[in-house]
Amino acid sequence: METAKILSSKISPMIYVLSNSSSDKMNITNCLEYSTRHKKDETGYGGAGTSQHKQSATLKKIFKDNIIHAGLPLDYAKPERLAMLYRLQEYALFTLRCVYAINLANEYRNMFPEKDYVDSFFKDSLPADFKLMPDNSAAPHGMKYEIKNILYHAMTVEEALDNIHAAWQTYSMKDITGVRQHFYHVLGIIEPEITGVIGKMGQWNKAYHESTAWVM
Amino acid sequence: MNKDTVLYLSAITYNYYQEEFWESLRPGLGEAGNFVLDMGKKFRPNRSISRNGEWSIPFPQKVPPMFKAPAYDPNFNKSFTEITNARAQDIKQCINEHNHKFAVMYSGGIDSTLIMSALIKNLTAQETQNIAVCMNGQSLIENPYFYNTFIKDKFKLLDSSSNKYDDLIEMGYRPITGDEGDSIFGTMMGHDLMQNYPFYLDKVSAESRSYLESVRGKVTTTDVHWTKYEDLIIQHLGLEGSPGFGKSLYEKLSKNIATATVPIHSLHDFYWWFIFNIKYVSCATRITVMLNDRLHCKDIFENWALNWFNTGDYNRWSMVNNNNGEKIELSVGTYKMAARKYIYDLDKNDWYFHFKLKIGSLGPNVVFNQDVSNVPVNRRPNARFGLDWEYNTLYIDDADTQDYIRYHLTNFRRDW
Repeated sequence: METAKILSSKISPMIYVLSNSSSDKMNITNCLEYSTRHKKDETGYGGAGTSQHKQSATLKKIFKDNIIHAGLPLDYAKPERLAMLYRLQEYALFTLRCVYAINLANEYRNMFPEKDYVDSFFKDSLPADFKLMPDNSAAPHGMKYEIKNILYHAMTVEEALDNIHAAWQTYSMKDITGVRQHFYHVLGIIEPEITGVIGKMGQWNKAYHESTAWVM
Repeated sequence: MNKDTVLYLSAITYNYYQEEFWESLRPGLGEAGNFVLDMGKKFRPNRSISRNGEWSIPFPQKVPPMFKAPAYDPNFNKSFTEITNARAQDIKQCINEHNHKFAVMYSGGIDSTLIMSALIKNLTAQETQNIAVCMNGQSLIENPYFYNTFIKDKFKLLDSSSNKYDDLIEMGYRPITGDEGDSIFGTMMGHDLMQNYPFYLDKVSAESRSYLESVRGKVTTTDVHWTKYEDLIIQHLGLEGSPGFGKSLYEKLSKNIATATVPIHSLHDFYWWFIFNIKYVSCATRITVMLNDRLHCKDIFENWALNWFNTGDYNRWSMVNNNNGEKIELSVGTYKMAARKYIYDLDKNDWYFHFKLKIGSLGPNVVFNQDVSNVPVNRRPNARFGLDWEYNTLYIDDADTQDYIRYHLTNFRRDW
């Protein structure tokens, strides 16, 4: 659902919960050739029907006998439109990987999720001017927020990746937890060289630490 | 109000407030009267009236002058872009000559994004100071790129969740609506049939099914006449619990088309004609009637509201641009193609151009969040029946309105 919400800046997405029997022949290569036979089973506001669906992502159970191999969508038969469909698939898969990576990295490595805890369990308990950080980065709303926003607003994979690199460059200078390294590891791409950051997890950056209040 | 009172709008509305009244009438009605109520159940509401061709309705009713259809002109050749730019010039003139202020009812959908695109393309920065954007969070979600790039920090914003037409007008704004966009381009009903084509196919005879399967990809071409889809259309127009309704509606629409002066070829034309001709007045009037509690509708129609697509040229364009890819190529992914191209020329947003789908915006963007608690229950939007010929609002609980409705529905006879 997190990925679908991000993709909703480009499409109006439905997440279908498929049954086992209908998904065994479907794979990452041929999935665009599968479709729902019709939308009549998807009743209620937020369904995929023309008069019900919304831009924000929704979740729907789909009946197993309503999935068919229909071939590529006829509305996307022209070469330029088909290319756009593949571009959408590429962006969706990239977004899915990024969301997976930042969520895992955050859960593994974010040792300072104080804002999340205060917002969830101590709402209005602290003075409003207290500085509460969502993680150990310098991103005001945390890196999870930054990356998801980049993916929501970017128009291409390249633009998104450039902005993600730039965000880490900007915000992970003092991060000692290794969220950034973990993110790139799970994403499966080589972490770009970022000048001046604290370095790989466990590595000591003397110049940086001499300019902070950290006592290690 | 007496039995001869002429209306400009009537609405058979099956909502929680009115349903009991409508159902109480049924025992005294004949086939045609019950058909009209079934139309109300099917379309929620039934506000049908024809602008071209025969279409009987129970009440003495006329098309409001400003929403009449121009004559069909087969030689009309202005492009959608020309007409849209000219419409923006109308606004420009109102700003420069009268210092009018406008509020665009903006959902982020294709119609209202087209309006904003036209204003951005044709107005100077100084002139856009007279334009406010009436929107809410849903508008942002529906088209975030356009908001960030072209609206944010450039236009004054007004909250559509708390500003109805009367609020906007009392602030000095003329509301601009794109509510007839679907009428110009086609219809959600047609999309519903295309999305659910196999569902309805299952309900027709085996021999018919085989043929209809073979012409599924021909619904926006002149190759296959809409009458060839008769079995499918009847199933699609059907109403559960009212056997024969689908066929009766099909026959009524067929008569209208046979007596109209505009050529109707494809299946998409059939559904386009339904909303362009029969439902146009409904689309054109509903916001003024329903999203306004304090001002007289005549004043709004004649002096304030600006229905963007309600021009002779847009109407003429709509009548000569069927089955050429301008309205739709095949189904919902290419709906309103001429408007997509106009918007793309400004925003270059590939995603919006290729993947934007029709989303009903009137509910989530405007109506659902309005506070009508300060309006008496029997004067709220759900209690409204229509407009008389002086644009006075008629309410379903008023005894003379009920007598009027009962009289005309009882005496309505089938002529199709």
